[in-house]
Amino acid sequence: MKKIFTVSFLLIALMILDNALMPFISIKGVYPSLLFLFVICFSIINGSKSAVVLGIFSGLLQDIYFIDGIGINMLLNMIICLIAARIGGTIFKDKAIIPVLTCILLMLLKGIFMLIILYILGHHVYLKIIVYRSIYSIPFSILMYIIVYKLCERPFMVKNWRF
Amino acid sequence: MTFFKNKLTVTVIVLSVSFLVLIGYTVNKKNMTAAEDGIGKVLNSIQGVVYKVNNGFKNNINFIINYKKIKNENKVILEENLQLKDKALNYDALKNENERLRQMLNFKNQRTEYDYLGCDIIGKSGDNWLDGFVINRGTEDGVKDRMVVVTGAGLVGQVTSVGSNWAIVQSLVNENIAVAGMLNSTRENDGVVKGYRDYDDKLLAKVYYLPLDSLVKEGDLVLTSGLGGLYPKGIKIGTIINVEEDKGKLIKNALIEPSVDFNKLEELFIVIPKNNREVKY
Repeated sequence: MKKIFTVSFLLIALMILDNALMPFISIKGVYPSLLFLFVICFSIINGSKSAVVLGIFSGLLQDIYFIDGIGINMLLNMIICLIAARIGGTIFKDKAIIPVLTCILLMLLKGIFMLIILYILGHHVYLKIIVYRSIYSIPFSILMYIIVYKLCERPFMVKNWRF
Repeated sequence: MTFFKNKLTVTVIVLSVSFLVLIGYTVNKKNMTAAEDGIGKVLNSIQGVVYKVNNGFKNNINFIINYKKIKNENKVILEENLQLKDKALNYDALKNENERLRQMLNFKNQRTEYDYLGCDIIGKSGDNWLDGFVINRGTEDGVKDRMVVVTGAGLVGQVTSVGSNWAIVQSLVNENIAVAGMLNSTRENDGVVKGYRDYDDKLLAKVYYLPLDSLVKEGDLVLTSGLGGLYPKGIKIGTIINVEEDKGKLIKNALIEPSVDFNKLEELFIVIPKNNREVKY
């Protein structure tokens, strides 16, 4: 119970930070999404089942402030978290290098999926923003992975989800 | 284990399909779904506070870093102020005269056909993919989809989705919004203004489809032309900084530096037509 409460609280807090804090530390208008980095790191550490749940929930939060339709971020985050979880199953989790690389690559991947979906819906996105965004995410993802890794070692986080 | 994995795969496939259906069903609906609206309302109250605090913090830091620049700016502004005061006196006289003449001719005054509703920015929207803002006004205040948003400096963008007490505004610099533009010097009104990002990632706009014999030149002011009935006439968009010819299509394009600084927006005004028919869907 405490686990569900902590994680949902973190997701909502990070969502608010994404919209209200990150734009102020943007470089040339580009800023990374803390919420997205968090769910990827969490998925790498905790496996497929949490990945799907977190992906959908974080996608829902992101969709509220996105264009008219809901579901775009839900779909993409779910798929991407699942990939992250599969990668997480095959690596040593106590070193941060590969998870950080995974974060960056998945961020690029989401950007490209997003570009395709938005193109179909008639919106235009710049490819270079996607690339810049992934590069700017590197320092944030290192910090995020270390914090999430420590968080997931706490006793109340180790228990399994129950739905 | 394989069974569990299969179950997960099946779940994911089912969910993916249902999300695709959901996207197709909700996209391009002009009003938000009730769920989005409700969650947005709750989150906005916190988000607005956080945004305000950060904005204040940023402004203070900017003030300290750019102290010298601001001092110089102040000097220039003071001088300009004197000149403007002089102009304002003239303006009053001319305005009175103009009103008198208008009444004589029974001319409809375009500016008074609109109400201006003030609003605050309470967050960014679009998660970096699309440039947009969240504002704290919605259908309860009479805001509708596709209404125009301005500041004192000029055109900002358009409302693209509306909740009950909040709305999302997409700004001019994102390429998905087009505005009918007019050159102030030559009164040519067949331009279409769209967002544009140059190689240095500056947020600019570009006016397309000017005729090849157009007299457009650097430094020209671009205003909204009012064609299409969506935007009021005469809102400032920006100044032209570069002209290019497209000989293949027999048109001229020109780069515009918007008069609004999109990184420093705080208060906005929504332009609400008094005559409701004017917002076309």
